[in-house]
Amino acid sequence: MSAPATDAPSTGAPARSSRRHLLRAALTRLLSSLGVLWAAVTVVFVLSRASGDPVAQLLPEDADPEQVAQMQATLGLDRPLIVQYLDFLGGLVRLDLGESLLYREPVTALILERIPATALLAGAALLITVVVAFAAGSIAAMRRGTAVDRTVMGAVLVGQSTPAFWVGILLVLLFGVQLRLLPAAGYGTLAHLVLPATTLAIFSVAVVARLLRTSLIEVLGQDHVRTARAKGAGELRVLTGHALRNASMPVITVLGLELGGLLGGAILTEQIFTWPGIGRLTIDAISFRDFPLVQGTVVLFAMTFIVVNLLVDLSYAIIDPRVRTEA
Amino acid sequence: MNATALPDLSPARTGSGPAGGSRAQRSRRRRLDLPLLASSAFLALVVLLALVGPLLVDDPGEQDLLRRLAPPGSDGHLLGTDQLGRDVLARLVVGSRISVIVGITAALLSGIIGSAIGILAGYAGGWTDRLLMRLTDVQLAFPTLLLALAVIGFVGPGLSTVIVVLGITGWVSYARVLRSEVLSLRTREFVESAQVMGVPAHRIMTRHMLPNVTGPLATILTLQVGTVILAEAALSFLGLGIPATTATWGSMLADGQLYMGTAWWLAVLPGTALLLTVLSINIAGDAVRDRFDPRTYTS
Repeated sequence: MSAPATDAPSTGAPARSSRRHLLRAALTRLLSSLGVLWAAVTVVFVLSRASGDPVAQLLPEDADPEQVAQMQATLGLDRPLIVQYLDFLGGLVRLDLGESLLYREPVTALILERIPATALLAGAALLITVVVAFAAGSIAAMRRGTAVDRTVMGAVLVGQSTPAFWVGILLVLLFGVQLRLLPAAGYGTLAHLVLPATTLAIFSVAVVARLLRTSLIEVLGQDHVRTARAKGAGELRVLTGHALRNASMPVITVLGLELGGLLGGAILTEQIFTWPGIGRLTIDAISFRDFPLVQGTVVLFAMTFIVVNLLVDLSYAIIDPRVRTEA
Repeated sequence: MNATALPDLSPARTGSGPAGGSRAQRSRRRRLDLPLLASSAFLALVVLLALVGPLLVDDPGEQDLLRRLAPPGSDGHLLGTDQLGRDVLARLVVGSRISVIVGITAALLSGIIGSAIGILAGYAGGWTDRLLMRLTDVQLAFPTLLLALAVIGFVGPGLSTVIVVLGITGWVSYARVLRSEVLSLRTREFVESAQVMGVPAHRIMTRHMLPNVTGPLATILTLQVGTVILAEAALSFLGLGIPATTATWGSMLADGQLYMGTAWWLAVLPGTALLLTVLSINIAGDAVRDRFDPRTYTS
């Protein structure tokens, strides 16, 4: 989709959109993402070391000091913190996150095993979110003030106010227990995916649709849209050719943020539907104080966010030429 | 979609300039707003119940094992009983207190942190902006729920822990939205002229930026109260929020899921209470936005 040059409001400085400039901005952004990743990983390390003594959790209360010392040595907890920290960072670089205390398996292997299920769930939910939200938001904005708009916005408001995990329970109650149309729990077929993905999408759909509508209404009131209308562009052409591109900038920010909510929501959704993904692995790890596994899953969540954020920022440059001049 | 070129739907916005420019927009009198009335009344009821309700209902902890899982409408139990024979109405009323306290305090806490960070980052620009935005990236890298779980694992569950955790983790949405608002405000003529006239930065931020972002701010603050209430419910649902000895809507839902097949009301009622409360908050929030946002985009 290539927008005409008149598309951007005239505030922009002459766009120095040379490829080299863009590349440098991207590289700067990449480096700062690495910095953020390092900070996030450090937070994980601090939290995991601060969250109680795993040895005390693993051994019976009357364990003698010798056993405790031996356990600490096995886990490497008797070493100075700085050594543990460097060891942790070194392990991350080699994708070695240690061994799970609960499963007695390498954390990396456990996580890799669970990634497809969560990726499938989150991907399906994101797809539902984007399709439903863009359709609903555009319709509401184009038909602003009509009964259609009020209906869509009413639905959005209810969706936004609903505890998504409660809807999950109700969906199970309705389609799983009462009607027996869809499996209430489990994993494997498309039928198993329907209820969890719907549950997970509910909250994001409302947020994105609402924001897109607000954003579209603002853009639709701008001069370039007025011009396009004056030149006789139809409503659909105004929407797809002139308005949606500008209106989607704040929406992309929020979509990036929503992926965070989506992954957080995955923890709940996987718990309700006994979905074999990272979310349930995380809950198990936290309840059993399996700190290498907690570290691993939390680092994975953090990495996913940081990469997505990087992509969101880079996509600004592609969507809005004005941003290219700001590194 | 029909191809008839509609006339511009918003003639009132013609030439609407920066803040305050042409505030004389639609002078159409507000019609009686039924949803707003209903939700305000419901919110008043919830707050009232949170304040004095526990005095009016039975002891929410009182068990009656002979009358387990009595359906709504049973003798003496308007909304039925749960798996231990405890009165569901009493537990809902006591649970409202937690939702109200956590929702308001945590949303305010994150609003103060988030708007300070967002306005500063957007206006100051440069390395301040980069540093603060990297800070939001670090915060964002941890889903609220995940971070809350981790911290609660460290400090132990409890009301104040939940408030502080949800308050601290909620600031990012304020900061990011306000920053982008301020970024676009910064290049407007009225800000540039203030700068040229030598108005100090802190004054521009509080006098020129803040009033121009009250719309988004009020909207986020309201949504955040609802979001926090839902997050607290989620934590309690997982059994990791407020200790299970206190009745909360979230922990009631957890029980509800277990007895879903035999006692539908245990899953339906607390969720409905959550939905109606958060829905009312959001409707009221929209009204707040309509009143304070000089640009008034609403239908």
